[in-house]
Amino acid sequence: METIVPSDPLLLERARQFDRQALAEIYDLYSPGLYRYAMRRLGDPQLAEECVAETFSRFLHALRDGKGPRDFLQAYLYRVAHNWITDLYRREPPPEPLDEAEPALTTDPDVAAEQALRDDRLRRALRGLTPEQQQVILLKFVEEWENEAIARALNKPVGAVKSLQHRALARLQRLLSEETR
Amino acid sequence: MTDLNDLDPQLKRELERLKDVPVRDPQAAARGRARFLAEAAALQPAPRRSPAAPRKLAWNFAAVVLTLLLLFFGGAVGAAFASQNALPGETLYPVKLAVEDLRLALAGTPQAEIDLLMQFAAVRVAEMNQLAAQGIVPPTETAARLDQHIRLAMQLAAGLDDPAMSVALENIRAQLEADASSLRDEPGEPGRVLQQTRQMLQQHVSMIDEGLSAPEQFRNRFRTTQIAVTTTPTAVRAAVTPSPQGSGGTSGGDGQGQTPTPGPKTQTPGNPGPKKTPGPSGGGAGEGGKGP
Repeated sequence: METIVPSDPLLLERARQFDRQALAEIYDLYSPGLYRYAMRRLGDPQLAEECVAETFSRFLHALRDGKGPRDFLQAYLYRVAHNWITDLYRREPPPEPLDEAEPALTTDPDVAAEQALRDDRLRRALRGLTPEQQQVILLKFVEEWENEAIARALNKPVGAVKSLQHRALARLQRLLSEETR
Repeated sequence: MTDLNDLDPQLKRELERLKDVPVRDPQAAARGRARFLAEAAALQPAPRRSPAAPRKLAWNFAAVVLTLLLLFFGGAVGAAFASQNALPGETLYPVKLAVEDLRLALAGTPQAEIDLLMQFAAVRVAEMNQLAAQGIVPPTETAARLDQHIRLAMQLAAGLDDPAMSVALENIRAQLEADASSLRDEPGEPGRVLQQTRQMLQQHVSMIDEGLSAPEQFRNRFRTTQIAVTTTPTAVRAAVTPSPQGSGGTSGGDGQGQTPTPGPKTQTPGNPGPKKTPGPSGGGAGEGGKGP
């Protein structure tokens, strides 16, 4: 389980002064995880790249305006990515998952087709959750963050995160069983 | 507290499948990184500048006093630090360029040099934008130096092995596109210079596209072409000048643009004074600080 670690204050301070080395370090540290997170939410490599690019761009603009995170940079970046994805889905509803099924990592066409179908079902069920429920499920059970870290990413108290998580799980289970019926 | 192990086994299996994510395309990742760093260079806060002459003079005076004080009390390090926001034509601008030359001379690897050169390219673009925003025509020397940064970066990339060259060229390309799109649309002569600069950047993008599709031709082009260097740091010039063919290159290497061998320092570039838009020529590339 990933524990919450405050960002290196010196690194953030250097980033605030637009130190190229520090910014490159931050990008190298957090962009791979953010990309995976965006892929899980969006299921599309191009959109995931766009999400990462926009997240870091907003981070830069926040730094320029004297804003941005003071300590927990990772939680901040995931919050920005989450907001971007939520805005995206608000603007344009997600495409039908069957049209963009990821190729499964197997050579057997039957198994691949079955896997693609299950992936679609799962993604569709996830999209049946509210954006915050999706975020809490992914951060908790896929990224394996602790509740305290999730609370920072969602900007909510830990207690609220726990009840959100409880509701999200119940709903996901129900949606999955409806999908398989 | 619920965690993955407490979940219904079926749900747990489903969620665990989400952990499998297709591998990220390394070239897309490299492009994203380069774009981020280019945007950072473009957004780097610059000091607020007023077109009002008295205030500008006061600032120039303050800069000179500060430099003298720093030279006296803090030495060259302080002056170098103070020069970092200087624009072409200002008193401290040559110091800024000298610091860049020094940083290049100290870069340990061709990749580090390429990164620095592209960082300096973004700085040149930002300088040109700032001058144009004030109605000042960016000096041709600044555009020439920008052109040199890019050519030298490409030449260093041409000396890398195939995979490294490909990634380096992708990075350079992404930054050039970001630089080109960050150039402002300004009226009059300053805008025309920025437009020409944008075209120059786009020509370099095309050159890189050719290099990505035909790496060997790209290498040959840089093996046989000597960049007309007027204000280039010695170390970089030494690194990128092919040693054979009697061109007077001093690399002592195999012409592949390997680690630079710092040669004797040459003069740093001059301090060409920018021209104010509508006025007369003002003597061309004269000394800086003569703006109205």
